[in-house]
Amino acid sequence: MTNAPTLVLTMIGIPILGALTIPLVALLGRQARTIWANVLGFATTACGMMLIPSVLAGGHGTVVATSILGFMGLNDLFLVDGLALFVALASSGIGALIILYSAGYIAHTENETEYYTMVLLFIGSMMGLVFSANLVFLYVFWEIAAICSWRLIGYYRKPEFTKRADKAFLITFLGASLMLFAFIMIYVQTGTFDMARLRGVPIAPVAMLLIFAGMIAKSATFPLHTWLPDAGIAPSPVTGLLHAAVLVKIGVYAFARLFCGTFALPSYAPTLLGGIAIGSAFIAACAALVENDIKRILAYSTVSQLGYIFLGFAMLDNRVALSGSLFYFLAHGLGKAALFLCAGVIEHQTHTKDIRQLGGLIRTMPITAVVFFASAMSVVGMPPFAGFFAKFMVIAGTIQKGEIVLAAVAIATAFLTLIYLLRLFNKVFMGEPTHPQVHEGTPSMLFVISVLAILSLLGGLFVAGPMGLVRAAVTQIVAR
Amino acid sequence: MLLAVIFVPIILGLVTFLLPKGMKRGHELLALAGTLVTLVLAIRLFALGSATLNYEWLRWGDLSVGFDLRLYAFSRFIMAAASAFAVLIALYSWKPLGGHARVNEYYAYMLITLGATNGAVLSNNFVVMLVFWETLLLVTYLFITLGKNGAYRTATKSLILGGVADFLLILGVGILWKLTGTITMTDPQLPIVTTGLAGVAFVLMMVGASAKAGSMPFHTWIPDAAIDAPLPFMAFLPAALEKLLGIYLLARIGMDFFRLDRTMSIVTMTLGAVTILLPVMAALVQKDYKKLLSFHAISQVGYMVLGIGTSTALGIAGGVWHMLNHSMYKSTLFLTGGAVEQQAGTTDLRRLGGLGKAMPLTALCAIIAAASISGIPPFNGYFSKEFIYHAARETRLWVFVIAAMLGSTLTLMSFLKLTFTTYMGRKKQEFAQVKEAHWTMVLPMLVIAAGCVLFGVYNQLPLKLFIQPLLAGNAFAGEGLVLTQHAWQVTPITILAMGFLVLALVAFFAGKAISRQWLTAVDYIHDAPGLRTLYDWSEKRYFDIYEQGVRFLTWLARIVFRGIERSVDWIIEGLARLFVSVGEGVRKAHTGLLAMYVSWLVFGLVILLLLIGGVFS
Repeated sequence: MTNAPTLVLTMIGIPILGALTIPLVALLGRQARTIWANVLGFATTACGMMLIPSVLAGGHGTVVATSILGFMGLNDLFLVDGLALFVALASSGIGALIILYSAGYIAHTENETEYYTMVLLFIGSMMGLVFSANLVFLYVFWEIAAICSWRLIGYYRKPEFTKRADKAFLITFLGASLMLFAFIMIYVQTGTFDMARLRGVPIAPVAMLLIFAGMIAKSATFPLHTWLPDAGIAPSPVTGLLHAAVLVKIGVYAFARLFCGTFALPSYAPTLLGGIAIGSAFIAACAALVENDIKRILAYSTVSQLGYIFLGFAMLDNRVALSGSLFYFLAHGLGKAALFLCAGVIEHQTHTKDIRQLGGLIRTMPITAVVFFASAMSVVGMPPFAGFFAKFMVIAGTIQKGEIVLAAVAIATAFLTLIYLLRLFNKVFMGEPTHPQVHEGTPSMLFVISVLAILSLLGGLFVAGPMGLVRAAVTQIVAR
Repeated sequence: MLLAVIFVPIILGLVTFLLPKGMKRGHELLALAGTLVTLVLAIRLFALGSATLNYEWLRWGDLSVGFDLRLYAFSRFIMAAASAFAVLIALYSWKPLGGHARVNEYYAYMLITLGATNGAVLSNNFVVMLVFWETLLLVTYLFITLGKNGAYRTATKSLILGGVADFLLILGVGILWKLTGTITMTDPQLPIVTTGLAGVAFVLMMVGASAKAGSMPFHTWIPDAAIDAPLPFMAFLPAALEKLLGIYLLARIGMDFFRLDRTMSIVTMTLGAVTILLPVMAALVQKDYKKLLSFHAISQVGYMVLGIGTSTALGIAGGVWHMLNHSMYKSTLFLTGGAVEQQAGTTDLRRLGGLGKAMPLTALCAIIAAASISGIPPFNGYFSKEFIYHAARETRLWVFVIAAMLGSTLTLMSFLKLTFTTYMGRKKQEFAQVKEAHWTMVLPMLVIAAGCVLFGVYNQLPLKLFIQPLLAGNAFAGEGLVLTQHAWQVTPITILAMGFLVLALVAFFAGKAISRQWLTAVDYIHDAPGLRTLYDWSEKRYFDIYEQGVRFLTWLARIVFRGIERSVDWIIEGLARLFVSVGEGVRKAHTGLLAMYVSWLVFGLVILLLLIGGVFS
């Protein structure tokens, strides 16, 4: 792993520092700024790609930067391992595609420069977070992401919208401060913030619950999830980004990093945390069946699917469940990003999000319809799409761990997912056409959604590819 | 060659999909060629007998999944049958689908279905099988959307019901994996006895597999599809391929994966018996050719489930054989229905009549197949039913024998009604111009109907070729059963079965004598006190698990949403409002008047003094 430290720092640096250059490049013109934002987005992903060989070759995670000061039990700054790289790749790749899509969507709105700056900073904070080697950095990047999300959710600046952005910020902040409290408790107990030194350290149940509260606030899990459906007032690319690539994935990543990979949890943790997760999944699926707004339905669907990811990770040392959850991280990201971007195309063309006022769009928007269906089936967990393998592994792993009741609820939630997504598809695309004169979105939009759908399909057909990295990651997580 | 038989049709299907729409007959020819190639491959594999193929596909932690294929007596038989059906249906579809706007999709789905079916039966690993299995479900959904406007509703129904069944199957596979530590079908850990958790796994998998075949309770999309879906679809999927697949898996569950204990055997047989009787009751009162057939497509599955549920060699052989026979006579029947619709323009029995003279070959095929499904010797259906009767008797549970025979009685009555109404009597004026169907439609019907006769009269052929080999090598072989001796014997059971058929004749012709019409000859069952209410309820879909299930779930979802989800949000928002109003109150206290602040100060001082005084006193 010779060049790994440089690559990791570049991968974090490009989006964060790059975000600050966007206002400068914007002085050259709108076109230049948009292109520059895309270059930065894809360059981040490219760095991640280059890291793959060294991570697959190197056994365990490596600390790539240490502090020269070394005080307050804070020595390691960044690390790279399979888990960090997999999540970073999934997030930055989907993020880059969403930036590409934004060109068609966000043009002709005010504050475009702010938009691109914030989006890149958002991706950058995610990169920083996943490579963090200590709890303090984790918290700092956590809050940078919160600030970006607050600004982006309230992008359209109507008073009602900024209020919802405040709600998102406040709830996630509440969770994060509880988590910070637990971090301090851990520091008092052990005298260090470095994750490498905290490996295998048993933590107090109170600390576990406080950290878990932080995670579920960020990853929108019942009962701290209600900000996520409300955040649907953001521009569609932003909701796509929130749901698929960065914000809500932070909590599940932290779960994998801290609970599976670092601390030793009490023996009842799988049942308790898995139970909360799958209960949340079920409740959210019920809500998705009742709602009538495309984006709210999709938001509840995200809450529900995050429950699956938490469930798999909550099995702690079961490799099948962990692999499933980690792979679902990617599969759900691809599927959900495509669904939100499709919703964006629909909203952009018809100016409504209410499914009662939509219908028959398959005739005027065939590509969007096909992409929507394929992505929905991936989220439901139908082969040959990527979602099938992920969900199957989560459920199979849960059964293997002995949590058969949780697995049965998971299956029931999968029924509901199938029903509400088909309901959504039928209402929007089937039946009598309501908007006969609308047409498809711009070519760049269609390109991005098609790429996402094709990736969902390829991720299922050639599932062995991504699973190579997942296996490396899981081996590192459980090897403690 | 194992890969070819899966992927050649799938790839040709994709090519068909992409062929430009303007091509005249291009899609048809390609589909025909594709199915023929697959048939040739399947026959060569049949001759080959057995083969395996395995390469590492995935490793997920402790779970290693190979792309593991196994050709043996059972899979080669299903593939050969499926490919043969596909060829005939591709030929048949030539006319009815001519000029359909989405003809490319139709043939593409047909080829992909064939490839995925071959894949599902070749898989020697549950995960690989599930992938093909659910791919089929998705293709079925797309297939049905090709039907008339609004067919997407039926398609959704099929996908949701199929999805529910498949999720149960997945849960069952997961539990089985936990219990045995393997997902390879030929692992020596299997079969396991169905007690405790294994019983749960068995029930889940059994329900999932038989739902694919169209068994209750996940069957209710089939009658809807009979009306909405493109016509040859019914003959292809619900009548033939889905039966082959579902019963294939059910038979393997019953002999290779689980060893049934008495309880589970009775559970399965009960499911079979209920599936025989309720749909046939519904079939009896139908007034539409295709819809009547679709209820029989459900009812007949009951025999197969019952046979396999007996968990005896004879029963499993009978169930599998009945599956083959059923796919032959039922697809013939659907094809005749299609021919009638194509030529006469309707399948409404109230309008049809006297078509026998105009369409003699169609009528002949329909009568042969109807006799076969009703279990009249010497057609093939009789012999496989006979196996099942005997197997049911071996379990000493006479109630199942009677249920099965009563099913045959009702089946015969409804087919007497169907054939007499459609083909007998005087030709109606509106059908004066009706002629026999095009040869591309008649030929497949004749071929399959001839098969029904052949497999009945010379029943040694299918038994020796298909059925006997697949029982070899598992635990039943010790029973030393030579199936071919069984077929023609006259036993008390066969005599009893004949008695039930005579009962049907009597009941039907008596009804005819009273009502004076073929169509209404059996309506007295419908009008019987008590039954009438049940039929009305059934008509209102009170018994449709989909309608009721979706209604229940919507209702549950509302309660959870309003009761739990929204109230949590209300509390959170309420807390926010509380903080805001406390802040507002404090802000209002800051009025900026000196007098006000002084009075606050004095007020505070008084309290302080009181406290200090209290402390010191």
